[in-house]
Amino acid sequence: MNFVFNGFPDAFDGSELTIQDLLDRTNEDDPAVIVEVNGKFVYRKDFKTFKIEEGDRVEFIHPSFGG
Amino acid sequence: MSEFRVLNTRAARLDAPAKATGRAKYADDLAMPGMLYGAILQSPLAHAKILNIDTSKARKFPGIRAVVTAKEAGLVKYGVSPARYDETLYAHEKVRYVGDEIAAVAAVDPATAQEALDLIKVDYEELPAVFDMFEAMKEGAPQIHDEFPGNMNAEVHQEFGDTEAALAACDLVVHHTFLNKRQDAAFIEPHACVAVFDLDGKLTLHTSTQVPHYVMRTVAMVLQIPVGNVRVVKPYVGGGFGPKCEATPLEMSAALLARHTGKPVKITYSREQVFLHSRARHQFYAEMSLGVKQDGTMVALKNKAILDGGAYTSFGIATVYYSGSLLGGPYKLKAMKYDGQRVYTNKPACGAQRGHGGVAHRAAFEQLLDMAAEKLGFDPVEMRLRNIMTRGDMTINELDMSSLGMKECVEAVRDVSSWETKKGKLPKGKGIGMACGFFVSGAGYPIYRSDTYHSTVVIKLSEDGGIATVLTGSAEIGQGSDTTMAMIAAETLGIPLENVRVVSGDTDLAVDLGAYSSRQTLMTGHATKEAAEQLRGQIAAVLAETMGCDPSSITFRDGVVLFDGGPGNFEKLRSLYIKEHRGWTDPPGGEYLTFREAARLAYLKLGSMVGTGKYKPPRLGGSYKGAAVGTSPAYGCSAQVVEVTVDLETGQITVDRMTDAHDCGLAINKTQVEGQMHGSLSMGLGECLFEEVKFDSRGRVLNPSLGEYRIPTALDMPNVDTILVESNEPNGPYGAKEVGEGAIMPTIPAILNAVYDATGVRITELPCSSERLYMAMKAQEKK
Repeated sequence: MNFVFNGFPDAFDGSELTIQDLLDRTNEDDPAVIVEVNGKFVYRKDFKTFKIEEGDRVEFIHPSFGG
Repeated sequence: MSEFRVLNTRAARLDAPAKATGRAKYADDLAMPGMLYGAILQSPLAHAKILNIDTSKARKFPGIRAVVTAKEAGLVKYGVSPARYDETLYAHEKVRYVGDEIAAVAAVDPATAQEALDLIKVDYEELPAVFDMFEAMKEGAPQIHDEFPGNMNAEVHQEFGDTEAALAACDLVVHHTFLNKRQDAAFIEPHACVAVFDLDGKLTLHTSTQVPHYVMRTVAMVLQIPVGNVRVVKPYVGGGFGPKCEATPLEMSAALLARHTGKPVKITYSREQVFLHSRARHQFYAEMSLGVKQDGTMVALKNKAILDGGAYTSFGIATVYYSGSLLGGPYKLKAMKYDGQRVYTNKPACGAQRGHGGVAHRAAFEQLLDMAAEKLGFDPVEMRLRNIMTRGDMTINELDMSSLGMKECVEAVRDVSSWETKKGKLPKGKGIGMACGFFVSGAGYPIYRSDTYHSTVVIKLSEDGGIATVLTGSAEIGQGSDTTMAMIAAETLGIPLENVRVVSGDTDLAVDLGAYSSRQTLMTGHATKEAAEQLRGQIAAVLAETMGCDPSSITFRDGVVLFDGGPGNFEKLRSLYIKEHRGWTDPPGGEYLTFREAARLAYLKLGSMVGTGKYKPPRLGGSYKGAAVGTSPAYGCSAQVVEVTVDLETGQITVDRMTDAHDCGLAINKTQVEGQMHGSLSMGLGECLFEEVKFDSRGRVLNPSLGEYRIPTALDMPNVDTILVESNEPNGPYGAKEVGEGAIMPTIPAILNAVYDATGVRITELPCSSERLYMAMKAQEKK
């Protein structure tokens, strides 16, 4: 399955990939992390069930980047 | 007696003589042979399609050397967070606010450049515009960016614990709404820059910025110049406060025009253009509910935020995040729910201004806390002390309070202001109020996804003379960071401050993410300390080998070297040094070997003496898999008491006294820390009582000058008592952490709580002008 992850093409060979799977795979889980799929916010309570589909644009945003 | 020789003193600033004598060169002071002057054409309409741009007349105008639009600039999208690159240098299909950049010219003088702008003919098809964030969210509102339906720019929804259940179990739930107004940072020096290409195609941009590193990256990306060919040099800067934390169209236009003309190009914003560029404080709407127990224990917080972001994202994702996350402390909570939304409107973009997303919501929350205290019959200070966090506590949203002198700050302002003799005992028209706040000491992540070090520093010792030069990319913008780094280097090397120089703000020297997020004392400070320790270690190793002793027995202090705490037998070394300097009339003397001699010896053995240091926030051991970096490595905190007099006939507010206590971990330079506290208080006072950027019905700024946008002067400021609390932050260099932004957090609510104390009227909308307060008092009388 091909998808766009943080602006770059990525791929997954398995049968399904949830947001939580991807967070764990990339070691990016964090109380503050914002997850967007196709520009829409994904609630944390849905991380374990939200499946990434072919062609999805997934963003992990760590918003504690200051200012 | 202090353990430090240089730190924790009131050392004179390194940049003070140049600034006081007028020798300091700011970007607009710079001139270069053949330099041209740039000017930018900006949209007069808030929302319109661009049908055609005709630059033909401008190109032929005498004295014009280049005209550029999106055609020349390209359409590379940029912004702050890569997840929201929503701007191009010039508008190419439509303009989204009054001031949106369309074209630029380079001319032989500024007047010619302005005349040429008038000759650029733009055909627009005006579109409906929306200027109110609530209207922008409604079905059918004008759509500002196609990719963001409903004008929803960013959302953050977080919940820690079961908030509804926690609120249901409370004895009292209080509710509050609050609305501030868009602000301007009102720094004294408008944005200015000079761009110049050398004959090898390398760009140097001299610019008034807080973030040379990010400007370098953005300019390279947008103008498609190899990043190694872009150098950004920050001259003296007359204030930033946040809006200078990102690359600007001014910088990119100057660079583009310099490339097209082969000449240096200077562009300076007018004050009006500073207002049009903005990137300053958002307007926030807050809706909060706080649940407490009868004994005053705080239990749960529900917090909703809507932010008016203007036409582009800027720092907006971080802003909407901080509006929620920064209420996780400094009080203990068992549950917290936050729903934040940032909305596009057809106005200049808002960004990060001192205190970032925390200021307005802290104001709302501290009022809410006072409301709860009043209903329960608790003194506001007592209510806060019952719930305060201490060192080692973790907030409900996992912000680690590795040090927190919040209790000490509250007790200090209570005592110094004589709170207990005044609260509840003042006549009507006089009031006293207090509030608390805290802020990050550097952000956990860089703005772009990267494992980059947040700071690297190089310190080079002179081959003779024992002078240390700190080379850093950090940005001295008036806050005193150059002096801070010099003091850290001097302390670590054991030499007098006058033997340290600092060269900063140049991307060729080192990586530093810049002056934002209150990061430099902690992060650049760490890197500076490490570089100095490395150098000290090199010198000690050479001395140990020469003297036949253990390196650990060697210490450096006040410019001399101690061997096992004593002078040691160094006569041979001194003799060698003196013989190298035949004819000199000031040989080193005294019973101790000098640092100058030791450093010279080390150079003779090792060659050039250079120490390097680096810093990035360590991964924390949180509850989430992956051991996140976390929001920040440390947090500063502040408590304030404000006393006011209100003229009950007119609503006029006079702030009589402000007492502020701030925990900065360790005050590297006490005078500088106090200066930041005073500056924060004055900025907060202005935002509370005076400041509001106003727009007409067509989206044009009505008050784009410092004559009409009123900021506090010395005449508006009361006597301020500042108290330094030093909690010794384990994650900070020598225990130091921030002061630049934490101190602004309590100011607005402390004033509003004092106004309530004086009048019995709760103000829920800023600014708390005399008119607003007068009308509120009249409305209260009618109830």
